[in-house]
Amino acid sequence: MGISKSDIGTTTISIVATLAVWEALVRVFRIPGFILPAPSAIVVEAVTRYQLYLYHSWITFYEMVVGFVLAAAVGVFLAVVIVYSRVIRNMIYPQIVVLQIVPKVAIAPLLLIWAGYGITSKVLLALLVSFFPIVVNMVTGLLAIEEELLDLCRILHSGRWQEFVKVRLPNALPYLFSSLKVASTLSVIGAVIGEFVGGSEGLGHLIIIANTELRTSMSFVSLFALSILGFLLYGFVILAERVLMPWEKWQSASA
Amino acid sequence: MERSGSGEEGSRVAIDVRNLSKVYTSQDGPTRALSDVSFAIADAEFVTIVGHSGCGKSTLLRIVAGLLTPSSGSVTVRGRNVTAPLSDVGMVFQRPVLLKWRTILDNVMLPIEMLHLPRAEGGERALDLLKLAGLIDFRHHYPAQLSGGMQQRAAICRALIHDPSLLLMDEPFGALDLMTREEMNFELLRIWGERRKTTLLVTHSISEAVFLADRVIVMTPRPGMVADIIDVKLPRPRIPETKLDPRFIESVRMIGRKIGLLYI
Repeated sequence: MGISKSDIGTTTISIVATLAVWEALVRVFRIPGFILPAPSAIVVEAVTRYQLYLYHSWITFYEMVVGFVLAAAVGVFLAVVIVYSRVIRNMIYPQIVVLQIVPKVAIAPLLLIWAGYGITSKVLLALLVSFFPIVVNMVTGLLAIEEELLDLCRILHSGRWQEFVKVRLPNALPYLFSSLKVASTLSVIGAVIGEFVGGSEGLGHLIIIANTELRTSMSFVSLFALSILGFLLYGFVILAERVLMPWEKWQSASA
Repeated sequence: MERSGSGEEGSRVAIDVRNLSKVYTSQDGPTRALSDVSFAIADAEFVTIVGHSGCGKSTLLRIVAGLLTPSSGSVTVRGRNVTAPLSDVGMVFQRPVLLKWRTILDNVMLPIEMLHLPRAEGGERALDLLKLAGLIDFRHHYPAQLSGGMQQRAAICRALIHDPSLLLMDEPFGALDLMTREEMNFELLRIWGERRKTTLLVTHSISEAVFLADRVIVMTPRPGMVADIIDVKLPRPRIPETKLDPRFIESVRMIGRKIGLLYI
């Protein structure tokens, strides 16, 4: 499923059309800026105070990336442990699921008490929100091995380590990457929840200020900045996937 | 009496299967997969096992490879009792099960890596085998870029790379279309002609069993027992015209009758 020029064309046209309709509605019905700012007003806000937005974007980006990377590390580690040790699986898997069921927004105030109002609590929240799909997918990937391949490993006296490194781990990569895509978008949510609940930096913090001061265009710029950040991380995951799994394009071509 | 075989009295026994039985226990009670199976295979002999699906052919092959333990009886490979997976075995399955993230060459090299054999020699052998299998130009391709038949040829190369003394094949061409399958039969015989491995191949195609083999072991379904062992008195190399030979047709007919009769 490739992306053609006409695909890009359609998407661009629809975005431009949406913005035009938005701008027209605001002007025709004279909607006040604090209820719904026009796209032009949002652009003006972004350009005139770009340093403010860059600074807070950087803070949020840092929190979500560190949280995401930690989530990937923790998630993969837990998955390996769960797959290889029955005892540990029975000990931690139910707890992980329970932790996942608790709404993370509800945990956020606690994390602030434990980890303070600084960056750490936001990183922890991003980690907490995004690691679960990584664990679940990675466990599936490590177990989704053809029976015959395991037979082959036994005939070749591979031992557990070689079986893990040469067969199970690469086999799990597609599962890992699909979970990383989900996690990359979740980590934005985690970081922002943290900033909402308490703190003095980041785009989430800006949105709170904008709301109390009814500076709606400021909210919108922060929102757009957030989606750009999420998109950047998501794009990076896709890029890494292409580089690390060059065989996948043939895989999908033949399927 | 099963040992009298192909008239190669002087040759060494490569595989000796004695009174083999296998019972699987499941929730619905025990299932007898194999019952008192005995046969012997000589060095460099090509033997096929033919029977209905569910007659325990694959179970038998996995026991010979040391991947399964029998409920009773024994398997001896070159005078040694098989109790653990044998690395002296090359195994080919119904599906190629190549590692999709490795190129064809790296797939063929997998046994060399896992068994910690010298890489340089292994690499040379890999190229030789790929040449023999007509895959040399595809060595840097990924499996998904190759057809099913080519993937299975690569799997055969992988099975032979560490120079095992036994080649065990479990319905290796069962997943291929008929034309590719016929082609693969010739390919396999050509490779076998060069490397002369003791080969045990499981199939449910009677004509394939006869065409490839020195001897055909005919098995009964549930529980799997040896119904008969048939000498194939056809000259090698086998060519397409072999299938028109009256002796070929007679063997196929005879085995068909045996399986058909037993099935009723």
